[in-house]
Formats: sequence, C-alpha cells, structure tokens
Amino acid sequence: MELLCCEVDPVRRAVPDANLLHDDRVLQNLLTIEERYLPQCSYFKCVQKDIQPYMRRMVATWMLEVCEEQKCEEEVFPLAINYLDRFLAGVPTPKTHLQLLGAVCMFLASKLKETIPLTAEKLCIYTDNSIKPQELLEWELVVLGKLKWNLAAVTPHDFIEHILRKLPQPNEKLSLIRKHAQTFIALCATDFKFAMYPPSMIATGSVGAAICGLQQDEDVSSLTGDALVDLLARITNTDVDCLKACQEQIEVVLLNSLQQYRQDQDGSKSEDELDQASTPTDVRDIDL
Amino acid sequence: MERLVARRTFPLFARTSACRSLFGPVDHEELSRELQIRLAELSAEDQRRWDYNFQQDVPLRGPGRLQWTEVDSDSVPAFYRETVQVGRCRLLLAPRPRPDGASDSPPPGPPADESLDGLGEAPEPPSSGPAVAPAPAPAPAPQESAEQEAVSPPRSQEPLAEPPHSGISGRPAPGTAATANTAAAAAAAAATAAAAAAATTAAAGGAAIKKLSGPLISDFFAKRKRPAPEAKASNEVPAGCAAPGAAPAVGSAEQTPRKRLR
Repeated sequence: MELLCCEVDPVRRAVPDANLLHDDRVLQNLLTIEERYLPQCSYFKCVQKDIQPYMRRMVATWMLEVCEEQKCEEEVFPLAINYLDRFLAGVPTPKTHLQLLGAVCMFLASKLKETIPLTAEKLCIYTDNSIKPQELLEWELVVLGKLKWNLAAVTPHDFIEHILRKLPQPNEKLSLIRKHAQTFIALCATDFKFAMYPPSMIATGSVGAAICGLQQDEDVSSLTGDALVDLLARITNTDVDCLKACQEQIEVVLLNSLQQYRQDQDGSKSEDELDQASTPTDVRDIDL
Repeated sequence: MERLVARRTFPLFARTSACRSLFGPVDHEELSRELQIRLAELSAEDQRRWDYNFQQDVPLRGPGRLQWTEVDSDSVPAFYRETVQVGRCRLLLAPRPRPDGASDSPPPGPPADESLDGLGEAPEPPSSGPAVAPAPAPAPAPQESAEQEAVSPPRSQEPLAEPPHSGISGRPAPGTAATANTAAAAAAAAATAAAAAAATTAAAGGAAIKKLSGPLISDFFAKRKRPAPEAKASNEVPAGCAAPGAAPAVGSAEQTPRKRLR
C-alpha cells in the first residue's frame, strides 16, 4: 500500500502562468533588478584568505550532487550558489566552514523554492555528520543576516521561459532545449567564472549553447549561428559579443566536465552512474 | 500522511558518495566562536541601522538617524502587540520591561542565549509598539524620575489623559519602592514615552515603569494589571480597540494570572 503511494509524485506544481510569462513587463523588471543580486566583488582576490577557487568548485559540485540526489527543484542549486557567493563576497570564511555554509545555503534555497524542503538533519548527513543540525540552524541566521534577508534572488531559470517563448521553435523541441539549458545553468553555477555574470546572460548563453549542441544531432531550430545569437541578444538586451563569449565559455566548461567525467569513468568510479552514460549531454549527470 | 510518503522524508537508506566531508573535521569550538562574532556584527549593524539597542530593548540616546517615540499599545493594531502562549490561549502582553536589573528576564523571551535572542528580534523593530518617527519631532529628553514621566507628556493633546494615567500608576503600590530603585531606567522609558500621541500612551509608559521593579513573576503580573483596566474600559466604550479580538484577549490575559496569584 505504502509502496504504491510512493509512486505518486507528492509535489504539486502550479501550471505556468500565462499572465506572467506573456507579459513583457515581467521580463523587463527581471532585467532591471537582476544586478542587485550579484555578489559584490570577486571575493577570492579581496575578501577570502583561506578559500581558493578550487574549493568553491568542490563545495559547488557537492551541493549539486546533493540537490540531484534529493531531486530538488532546478532553481534550488543556482539559488543556493547565489547565496554562497554573496555571503563569501562579504565575510571572510575559513575553508573548514565552507561545507557548512554550502549546506546552509541549500537549506535556505530549498525552503524558499520547494513544497517539501530539505531538512537540516538530512543535510548534516550529507556532510558526513561533520556538522550538527544545531549549527546549521545557528548559521542559517548568520547567513540570513548577511544577505539582509534578501533571498528571492533572480536566477537564470527565471529567464528561461521568457526566452524560449520568443524563439521560433517548434513546441515539441522546447522541452529538450529547456532541459539542456537547465543543465548548462547548473554547470555554470559550479564555475566561479560565471559568478559575476548577470543571470540573464547565463540564461541566454545556456539556451544558445543548448540549441547549438542539439542542432548537431537533429534539427531543432530554424535559426542558427549569428541569426540565433542576434535574436537571443535582443530578447535579453545582452551585448552580442558578450553573449557569444559567454556561450563559448559554457561550451568550454561543458567540454572540460565531459573529459573529467570520462577520466572518472576510466577509473574505478562507476556504479549507478553507468546507466546515465547514455545521455552524455546531460552535464549534471556527468558531473556526478 | 502524504508528507510521510514524500520522498524527502524517507531516511537515507545507503550512504551515497555524496555523503562526505569535504575539508576535514570541523572545529566546533572555533565554529561557535565565529558564530558569536558574526552574530555580534549583525546585531551591531542592526543597532546602527535602527538606532535601537535590541539587547536591552531601548532606543539609543544619541542624535541618530531615527527618533523613537513610544506609543500606546492600544493605539496600534493587535498584531503589533506582543503575545505569549499560555495553555491554549494567546495573551497580549503589555510593553516589555527594560532588562535593567540583571534578574529581570522578560517572560515572553525564550531563555536561549541572549545574542541569538536579540538577533531574532532584530528584524521586527517595533516590537512593543514604539513607532519610528523619521526625525521631524523634537527629541523628548527629560530623564529625571518616574514622576517626571507622568508630567512629561504635556505635548499630548488631551489633558484628560493625565488623571487616569496617574491614577493607574498610583494603584499598584507594592511596586513603588522598586520603581525608585530603577528610576534611571524608568526615566529612559519616560523619555521615549514623552512625545507619544495619546494620553493612554502615558499609561503604557507607567506600566513599563512598574514592571521594572519586580522579579520575573511579579513582573509578569504587574504587566497584566495595567492593560486590563484599560481594556475593560474600552470594552464598555468600544472606541479604543480597533481589533475586535483584542479586548477579550487582554481580558483573559488579565484574569488568568490574577486568579492564581491573588
């Protein structure tokens, strides 16, 4: 009986709201306010003494794994990374506290975005019990205070539907493009290079990279190359050259993580990851 | 039940590779020291931002960005007032006591560590009803004695307010000695109370003063005592309380402790 219940997805989702998605003011407002939620500075140079860029990648990769394993909503991970970066841009943090911080950020992002949020206990287990739930809760308050309780940050995901809606794509291809774009967004969040980019640019670049990548196998888009980039750039008021550069960076990062994935696979590291190898374009799986 | 079934509430069956400690063992003592530092930073920030000492629950004195004015709790909607859960009823509290005497811990506050507590309160500055006035009004400065406090709101437009207030403050005689003890704190309360709009304000200020004196429990009741007559009055003349639920709540708040104590 209970097993049967488990097969029902308990999460209820709202249907897409046409009033929001088809109103250009929403997109314009998102573009106006998105800069407010960027980290104040490139913190490895000016704030952090102990933390190195590779440590951010480590903690980000771990956070992505946790979010994947817990099947969090797509926005949770980028949002948590946004909290992490904004906190680190203001507060010098020793590296031994970094994982705690990552857990706190996931805790907050999950509470904001999900109907059934991650629990403190579960997150502590994911740190191999190196932190206690009580500590997580205490630091939640610190992070909230340092972020000035400003949690509803704009993430690249907020732009995806607005962008997709304006592309001349056949509807049946949209879900595939969306899925790949979401994967690229998660990938960008793991890499500090993208931390200072406005979310709209990451979203636009991710959609562009998704279409270009898919185009190699099948015909998903009537627009390609420069025409596509021009259209994308117009949608989010992004500079065409910046957008191109961003898209190229995304492709480079994808390539790197693919290589990383293959190396990991050549090593002894493969259990349930093997069956995911059938979708090598799904970078989040690759990252695992 | 559905929540139990949800994927999130299942225990983690097997530890997956994601369960790992990234940067070695955490020094919990260091972590806790760091926590205190950060909390102190935040609380200092809040204090600067609001010109308000949230730990002691008093406005800052100096000429700052903001000027605080105490208003009567009855003049604000019920949800701005502090409540405390007693059994199944939620009771409205009078303005909080100044944490002046060391033993004087406010009953509503959870006895957790203070800085945390203070922070928790930080985001809701108008905790016991004082409203932020963005600096136009002249600063009410008289800080001599409790007596003066009674006199000090000459600004309040209704002189009528004066008699009831003094009458009330006179009533709970047991508190008076202690009031003298804490005259300074009382004066502080008075200062903030001064500019307040209505006459009732003064009454509230009086209540705050009384409260100071007692230790925890009597404290609690002194507080109760005050709003009760007012509430009842406003029951008869339903002018004072905007929220219909508010008056009964106060009434019950009044009754419960009194029955037990006296």
